[in-house]
Amino acid sequence: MTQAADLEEELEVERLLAESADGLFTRHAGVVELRELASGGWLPQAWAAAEEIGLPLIGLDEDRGGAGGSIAHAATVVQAAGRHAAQIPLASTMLATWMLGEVGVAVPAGPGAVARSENRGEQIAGDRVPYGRHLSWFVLLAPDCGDWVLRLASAASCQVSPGVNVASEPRDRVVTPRDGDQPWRPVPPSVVASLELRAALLRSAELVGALETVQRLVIDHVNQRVQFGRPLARFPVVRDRLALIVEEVAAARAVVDVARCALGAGLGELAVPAAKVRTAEAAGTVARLAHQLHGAIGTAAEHPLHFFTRRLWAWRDEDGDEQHWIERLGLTIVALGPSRVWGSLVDEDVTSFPPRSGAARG
Amino acid sequence: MATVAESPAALRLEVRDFLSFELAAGSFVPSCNAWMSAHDPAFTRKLGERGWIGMTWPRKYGGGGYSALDRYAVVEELLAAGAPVAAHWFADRQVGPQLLKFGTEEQRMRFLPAIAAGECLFAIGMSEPEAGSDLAAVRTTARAADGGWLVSGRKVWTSHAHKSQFMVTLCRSGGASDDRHEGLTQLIVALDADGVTIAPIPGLDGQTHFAEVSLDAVFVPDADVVGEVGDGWRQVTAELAFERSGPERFLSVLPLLRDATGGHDRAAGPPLETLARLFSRLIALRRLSLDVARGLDEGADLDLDAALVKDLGTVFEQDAVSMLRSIHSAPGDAPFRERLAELQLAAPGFTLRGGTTEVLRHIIGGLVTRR
Repeated sequence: MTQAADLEEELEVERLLAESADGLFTRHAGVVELRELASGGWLPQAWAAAEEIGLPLIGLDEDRGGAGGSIAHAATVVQAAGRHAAQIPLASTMLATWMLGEVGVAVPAGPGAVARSENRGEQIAGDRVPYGRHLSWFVLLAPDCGDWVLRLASAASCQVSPGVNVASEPRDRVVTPRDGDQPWRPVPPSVVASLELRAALLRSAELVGALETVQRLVIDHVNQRVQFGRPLARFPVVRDRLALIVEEVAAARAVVDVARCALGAGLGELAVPAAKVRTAEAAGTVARLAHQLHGAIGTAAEHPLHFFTRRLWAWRDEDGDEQHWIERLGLTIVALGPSRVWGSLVDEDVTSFPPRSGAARG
Repeated sequence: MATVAESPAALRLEVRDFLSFELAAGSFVPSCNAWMSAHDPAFTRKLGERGWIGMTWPRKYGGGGYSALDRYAVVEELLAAGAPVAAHWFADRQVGPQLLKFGTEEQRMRFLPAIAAGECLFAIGMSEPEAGSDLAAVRTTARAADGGWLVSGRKVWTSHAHKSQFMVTLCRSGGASDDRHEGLTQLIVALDADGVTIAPIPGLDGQTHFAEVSLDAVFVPDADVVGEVGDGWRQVTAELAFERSGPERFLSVLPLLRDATGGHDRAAGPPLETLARLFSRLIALRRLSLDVARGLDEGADLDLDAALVKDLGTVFEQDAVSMLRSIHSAPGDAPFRERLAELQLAAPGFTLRGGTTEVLRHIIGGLVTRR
């Protein structure tokens, strides 16, 4: 059994992915670029660079036109995007691309998103679609007599009404006539269920990325800022709050690591909802403490902190708000009950079953 | 004789099978906080027979040559089931690894196989009346004597000293020095030696897990010094990552938490938010703790990670006790309430034992801002 070697190799792949994504976002999606963005804007150059190296196609099999890799790898890349608050439709394109792959539709070029409609009347309307106005195509997902159907629509065939979230990221309403060039295709319910989990995982990973950067900003600040003749980091009460931030970020990262591997292994009914609940909780705590430790300086538009804290406030309630996932997780736990909940929890962390150590075992 | 599981998954399942058999046989009653409070030498011997004490130690010392992750799987299943593991807990977690690292060959051969068999019980004498969080303030002294040392002083909060045969004792062996971390030595005191007096310290919960050990010129032969004379501080702090990062730092409440997932009053409905919040924290904690176990196998420096596990874990345990009060279950309510009340009385200790919240956060804040 080579579980240990597999784990090592997997960690190396993730490290390389994160490194190349971080490098790309550092070049094309820095705080300088963010400051110049108007509300609802995006970074087309960063998008072009990401598309060029195939980032949006990670998580889609190569025989379906993707770049290969699993949802776990996709989450690693999205976490890096979160570290830079990279304002590009990366996760939404990954999700829409995967959806098309599942029903066997060729993936168009450019950025896209799933626009989910509540009904299939004369008009199809999807709300709060990330980056809607900047996209090239949409996957329209709609209910059909208890099942789900989808069709591909070009941006030209859709009307987009602009909106933004609390971080000034585009969240638009997309409306289009019921029928277009492409036919409606049935979508297996399992694919719709999986879409929700994938979206929650990617959003959780993005939250962890932003949390990591907030932690870094706080550490820099308390080391540099001098009050009462010494750096803030020397005050015990400041250290205590800083420790809480470090703990929350570590916990959020850990649960997303569990969820990423679980979903990649076809599990995740506990771990993915738990990831969204835990990261949302950490987002609230860390944003509050980070602003407290930054003092008034952190509330200035000029300071980079808000690019990340505003995203924490927005993202914690996107792709299912905190309460939605609390109920979903709670119901799953109750359904498992006392006899099964512990076993499931252990199974969902694929590292729970230790690799066999060859040494001295024979 | 120990049976060796054919695969890692089987090891975990083997423990579960063993526990359900023992539970059915009535050999233990599941309890919360069992690694501190459930002291059962007979059960400890059973675990020794299965090879589940000293698992990571080399076979020549009675160990099983398992990895830290293998051990993790076994102790986690024992804790989750609320099995009585207190009698050997500290020897398995700290004394064994310390003797392997710093002990003499004679000490290893004398103590390790007996600990692994569940037959030799150890306490660890660290805290004193004037040395709590500030461990370097220990005043118990070891004076050189013919062929050994004469040890005098008082140790308090020593878990199960009154039920153990030996105590690894941290004491001051050197003269006064500017550096308080110098001149400390660890030695093994036989608790039946002349000059040893042990008095249990009843806790606010009415239990007596702790004891006060008075040492009045107790003779300890040179052969029972652990490691180097004067090197005690380094030896003690070297084991902190083991002590702080294990699953016992968040599983003290698991039996109760598991019970809370079932048997809900239909009118009140299940407490979804309480369960969701607690389980999402638990999933994160398990991974953080597993990551430390993996790192320890590789010999990494994990002081920060271990401190994180302990603080997050023990605050989680206290929050669990508080949040589970809102559970209203109709059937089986009385036993649930009794356990909760028991746990409430144990809860203040969660964030004290093995490093207080305040000390841990000071360490964490210091490590991440160090330049």
